[in-house]
Amino acid sequence: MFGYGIIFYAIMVVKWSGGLFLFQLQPPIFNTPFNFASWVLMGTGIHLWLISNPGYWVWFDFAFYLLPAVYMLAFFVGQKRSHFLAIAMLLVNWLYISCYTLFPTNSIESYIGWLLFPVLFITHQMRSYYFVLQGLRYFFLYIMVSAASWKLVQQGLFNAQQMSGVLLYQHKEMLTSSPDHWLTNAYYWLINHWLVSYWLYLLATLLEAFFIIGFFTSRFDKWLILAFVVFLVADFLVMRIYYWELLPFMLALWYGKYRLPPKRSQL
Amino acid sequence: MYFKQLISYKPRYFLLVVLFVLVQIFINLKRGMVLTPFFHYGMYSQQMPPQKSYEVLEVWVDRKKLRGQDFLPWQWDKIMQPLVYFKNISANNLLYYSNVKRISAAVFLPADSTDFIINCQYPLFEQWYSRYLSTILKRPVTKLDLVVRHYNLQQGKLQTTIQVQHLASTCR
Repeated sequence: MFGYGIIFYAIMVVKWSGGLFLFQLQPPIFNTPFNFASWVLMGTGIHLWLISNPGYWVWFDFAFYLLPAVYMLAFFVGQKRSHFLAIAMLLVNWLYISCYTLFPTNSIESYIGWLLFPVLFITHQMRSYYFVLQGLRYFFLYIMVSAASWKLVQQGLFNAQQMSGVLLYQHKEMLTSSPDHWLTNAYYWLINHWLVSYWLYLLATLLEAFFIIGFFTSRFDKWLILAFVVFLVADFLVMRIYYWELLPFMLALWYGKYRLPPKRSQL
Repeated sequence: MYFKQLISYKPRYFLLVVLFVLVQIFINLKRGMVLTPFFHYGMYSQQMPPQKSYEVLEVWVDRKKLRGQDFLPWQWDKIMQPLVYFKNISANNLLYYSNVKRISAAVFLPADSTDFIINCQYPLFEQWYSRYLSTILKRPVTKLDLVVRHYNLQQGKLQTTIQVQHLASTCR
């Protein structure tokens, strides 16, 4: 829990300083994703209510960012019913993230850790905690391996100019607005040396596929953490995409080596 | 091993995990639509060869084009994303008529058009964007032009063309 709190609040500071809280963004426009759960939510009209009542955005942010701290406090003072707060955190996280990602922010996929981790805190028996944490670990491994598999299934991997096309699409506004900048020159170099950029794409895919090892043993989990940090940094440098919100899953890898605790042990 | 331990611990937890896995498999096989928390993690996995031309969003403030190099990645995203959303209004509205309405009706879920359809109120959007941009730039925005310009990929670089349209005209 403590590790989750550190990661959550470190990301909160980044979001605050980047002006990425809802009340800082004050979005007037939304987009309908191809996500049935989002349609159910949108059917209630809550996103339109938020748009027309911007005064409530700050309360939305407040509830979302405060609840983990309240839960931690209750947990550390030994409050036996702290798991009820975890249920509230789960509900608030789902509502906040589902709304937040309808507006011009990030895609909901990157928030999967924040959607699922509160389930871990609902548990109050050591064994349940162990099984949920292990489940989260396997789910994260699945995310990485499936990212590699999609590149195979959708055949991006079989296109030698794939990364050139990806870079052009991803950075077209940067390339055309800053034609003489060193970063633009670096991107153009990669775009025009498509074999080199394809190798980057291939290496990224192999790195993702490498996580398959975690399904068979937890012995290499520390290496997987390192591999994920490399992946995050490379994604940030080459693609200017930041997946910091996936970092809580590192905790599931870090504690992946622990064995099944004895029966009836409490948290 | 995990499943073996889980089934002997609490069979109902085991069933929940199996259900979770089955739904994820179903979503993967079906492709297309997702259902939180069951997503596809296939960003940039489809074939994307370089195109001959690209539509590029441009922000002109007081007759000067904003440059990506002057902003951190998340600041640049903050500047560009609302424009991407505005440009996507027609596609958003089309999705309602082609999928949201039909699929929701099939499962008796109310999906009123007022909750999904966005009206093209460009003057209001520009007013808001101007205010929003001035908080990012930390200076007032007096003259604002939002355009979509076509660029051709020639000799390994994106070259400007005379084909340009105002952002307002992307939404009808």
